[in-house]
This record gives sequence, structure tokens and C-alpha cells, in this order.
Amino acid sequence: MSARVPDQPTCRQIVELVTDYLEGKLPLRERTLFEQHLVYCDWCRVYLEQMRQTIRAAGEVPEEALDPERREELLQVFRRWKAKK
Amino acid sequence: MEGEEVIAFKWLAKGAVAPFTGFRWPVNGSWVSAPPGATDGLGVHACRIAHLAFWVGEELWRVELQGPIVERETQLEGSSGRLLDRIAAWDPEAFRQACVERIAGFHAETPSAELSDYLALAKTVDAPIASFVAAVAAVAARGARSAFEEERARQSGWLARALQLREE
Repeated sequence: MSARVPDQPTCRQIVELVTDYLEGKLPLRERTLFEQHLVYCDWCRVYLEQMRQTIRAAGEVPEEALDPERREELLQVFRRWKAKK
Repeated sequence: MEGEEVIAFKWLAKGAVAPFTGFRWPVNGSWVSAPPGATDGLGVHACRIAHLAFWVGEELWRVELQGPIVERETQLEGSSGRLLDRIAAWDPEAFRQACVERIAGFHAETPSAELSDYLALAKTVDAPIASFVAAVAAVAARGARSAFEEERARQSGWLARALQLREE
């Protein structure tokens, strides 16, 4: 359906832009089209809300609150991920 | 356009909640201001009648915007605003049905599998989605990208007539 209206963002593009949107970094036109997409896309609305909740929750967890063992596990996951890139 | 004060319209989610930010608007007429230094696009938004179809939501309110007010392609933006009253006549089902009938009309004029799919889809979704599908169906039926905006304008006109909206 989006091929009929090529300037309307696709769900994939919305996912790519969501961080910039939440940080208020999208240029006005992109921001407007982003929000218009949300009007008719339940899936992207849910995704945006999940991202918001994740950011809120992550912001409430101070580094020192992490169990040292869990912290090390997480770091190892990141190191492995980085080594693969 | 730059002005100091405009009466316009605002779509909100149920309970006078802003659909994108989750902000709950006061319904007692209190003013709400954009954050100081808010950049373009982050002010208080509202619609002229011509903008209505792009932003369909669960509740429609009449709002007062204060300036400076900037008119953009599909919305107005001011530095502060307040809800005046809710448009009680807003009937999403009637609007959805009008969109379905519109797509049925396109399909009757120029039958195609694509329009048949749009018609089937519009019958199963809510009003905001059905109106988007109808605008896309207009492009498919007319074969011109401009039909999208034309259909949105037509939908906004339908809303204004059905809800007896006037710009002040």
C-alpha cells in the first residue's frame, strides 16, 4: 500500500527513526510524517510506547544497582557482539 | 501565517490524552504551554478544518491556541493552548463507514483486485486506518499521487459537514 504514497514512511523507516523522534531530533517534515504514520498504524504506536517505557525503565536503573555477576555477563555479551561486527 | 490567537480543533486519545506524548490535557480550560525554547514541531498543535483528516483520533476538541501561531501544511502550531469543549457529535463509526463507501465507489468505477483488497481491509479497521486506506485507494483509482491529498481534503470536508464545524 505504501508504494502508492511514496512520501509516507514505512513501518521499517519508523523503526529506524524512533530514537531521533524520541530525542526531538527529527526535522519538522519527517516528524510530521512520522506522527501521521502513527495515526493509522497501531503496530508502530505500540512500538513507540514500548521504546518509551524501555528508555524510562533503563533510566531508573543506576549502574551500581546491577549485580556484579550480571554486570560481567552483560559486558561479555557486548564484547562478543562487538567482536562479531 | 502568523497570528496571536486562533480557535481550532485538536484530536486526542480517550480521556483527553495527547496520542503521541501521552500528555493528559486539562479539561478545565487551563492553558498548556510548550516547553521554553521548544524547537519547530514541538509546540502545541491543532488543526484547521482542512487538516482534520490527517490526524483522526478518538476525541475531537475545540481548542484555543495562542501565538505566535504558525500554519504548516497539515497543522497549526502555537506556543500555548487550551481545550475549550469536546465535539460530542464525533462518531468514528459513521466516518469509517463513509470511508468504506468511498472505496466501494472507487471499486465500482474502476474495478480491480487492489481496490477490492482495500475495500475488504477498510471494513475491518478503525476510522483512522479506514481514512488512510481510502486516501490510498483514491490514488489507485485515479492513478495520480495528488489524489491522496484530494481525498484527505474531501474527508476533512465530510467531517466539517457532519460535525457542523466552523472556523472562527
